[in-house]
Amino acid sequence: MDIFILHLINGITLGAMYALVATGLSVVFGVLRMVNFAHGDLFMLSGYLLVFLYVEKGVPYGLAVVFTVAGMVLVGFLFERIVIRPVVHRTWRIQLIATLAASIVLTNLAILIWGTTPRQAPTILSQNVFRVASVNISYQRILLLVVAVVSFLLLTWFVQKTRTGKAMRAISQNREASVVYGLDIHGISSITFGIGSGFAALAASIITPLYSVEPTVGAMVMMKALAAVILGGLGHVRGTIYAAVLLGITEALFAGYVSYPFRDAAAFIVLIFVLLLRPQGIFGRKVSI
Amino acid sequence: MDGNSPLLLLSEVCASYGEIHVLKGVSCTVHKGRITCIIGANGAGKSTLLKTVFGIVPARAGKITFNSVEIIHHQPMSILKMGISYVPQGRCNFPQMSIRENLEMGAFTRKDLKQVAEEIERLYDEFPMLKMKDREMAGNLSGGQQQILEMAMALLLKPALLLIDEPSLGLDPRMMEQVFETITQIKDRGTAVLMVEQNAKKALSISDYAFVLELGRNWLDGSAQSILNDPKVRYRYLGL
Ligand SMILES: Nc1ncnc2c1ncn2[C@@H]1O[C@H](COP(=O)(O)OP(=O)(O)OP(=O)(O)O)[C@@H](O)[C@H]1O
Ligand SMILES: [Mg+2]
Repeated sequence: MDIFILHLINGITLGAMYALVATGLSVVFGVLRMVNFAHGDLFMLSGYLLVFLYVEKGVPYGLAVVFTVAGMVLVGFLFERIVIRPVVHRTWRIQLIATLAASIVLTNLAILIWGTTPRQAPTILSQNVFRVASVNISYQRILLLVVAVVSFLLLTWFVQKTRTGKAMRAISQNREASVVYGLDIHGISSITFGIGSGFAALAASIITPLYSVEPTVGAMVMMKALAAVILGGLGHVRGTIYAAVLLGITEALFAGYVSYPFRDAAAFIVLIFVLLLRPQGIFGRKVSI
Repeated sequence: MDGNSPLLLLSEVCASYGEIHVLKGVSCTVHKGRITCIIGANGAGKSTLLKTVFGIVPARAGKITFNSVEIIHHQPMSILKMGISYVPQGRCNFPQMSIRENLEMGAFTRKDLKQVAEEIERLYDEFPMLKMKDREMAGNLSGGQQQILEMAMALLLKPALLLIDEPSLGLDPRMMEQVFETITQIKDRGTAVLMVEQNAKKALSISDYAFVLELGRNWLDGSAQSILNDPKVRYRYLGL
């Protein structure tokens, strides 16, 4: 039983991380109708930014998180301007190549700058644990859950209540109509990208102290997040969050009871089975790209 | 400006999709305080004409002026700000947002949010259907109700000219009646209307002036009454 709880808690932690990363991907897909294959690399860059601020510069952890997120929102704006805007009206093939190329460039840039040795950033919260039954849970995991829940609530509020948030929904529902009524598609896309990048940074700032960061960490995180986005239904943010948690738990249970080395396959096995039964995802409606 | 100069003037306008030439030199004028109607067979280029005015389809030749200002190479956003709004053929709203949110999006380019809120209230008085369904998702409304919503959204930018493409498309006769009534109401508020319609008889009966297009060219024009009584038009477009 204790072992089960341990795996479950691991799974929820993983799920929360995937959900934060996948939310960014999903919001961006909703508004721009394109998958940003460099999204995982924004996560990876965030991890290094945190290590730089917190470990190398000695900025207090809380402040380092805030700076990391703020910094990555700016990187998101820049990324949208440099990589996304030139291809947003092109075919999906060109968009795929542009964002994939950006991903390769960022990964290799990270190797050049920081090398391939994983970097760690342990915090007081990650080093201290409390016991439930005979299971140790670090406070960092609780922090991750709290941050995930709070940031999802904030995002929901933003999208439902603010003018910019409503425009994000409008653009994702009907792009042609958005042109007709003069919605600022470029500006909103830019903000959306900042939000997506900010979510990746939030995930990375809290997860890096639990694991570590290395240049290729983005690829796997990206694949899992993409699986969650597809499972949840493309562009359907709440569905994405549920799917991410489901994937995290599946992966942890698979790692614990079936095969640890093949844990990464679990998410994709689920993905393949679900898509066989429901091609539009669990919660999704049909979209075409 | 003298009182007779047209609000919108198209002169020998040509437009094409790649190699397909659709408008081959169309001219027309729209005056303030009038409903101007364009009729023509399927594929005559009526929708293309409105898209060209709104800047969605680029004109290859000719002149388009609005309030005597050349607007031919302007983007939709800039045309919108000059005072032309557009309600395209087919559905043009945000289906998973409430009526109120849709109206707010219609007014997105405006920064005077207080006045916008007041104007939404005024629109609610004018079109009680919208008020009744305030919180309903636009996608759950009937086709005619969505058409009225879209016209209301376009009106929130206080356009001097409203372009409307096939407002009665796919509506039952009762709804159609309401939509045409709404268009007359829009004219009475002081907004000029340039409307494209398949239902020529009904459209002509509420219009002041009409142009008949055929294969991307002008064929006839005149007061709506005279077009309605023209034997050639009656034979070809009214089935009489
Ligand atoms: N996006 C497009 N690309 C290529 N050809 C187009 C496009 N849109 C319209 N056309 C062609 O241009 C011609 C005129 O189209 P348009 O939509 O302006 O006609 P219409 O008079 O509005 O017809 P309808 O009554 O069917 O709405 C048609 O032959 C159509 O096939
Ligand atoms: Mg048409």
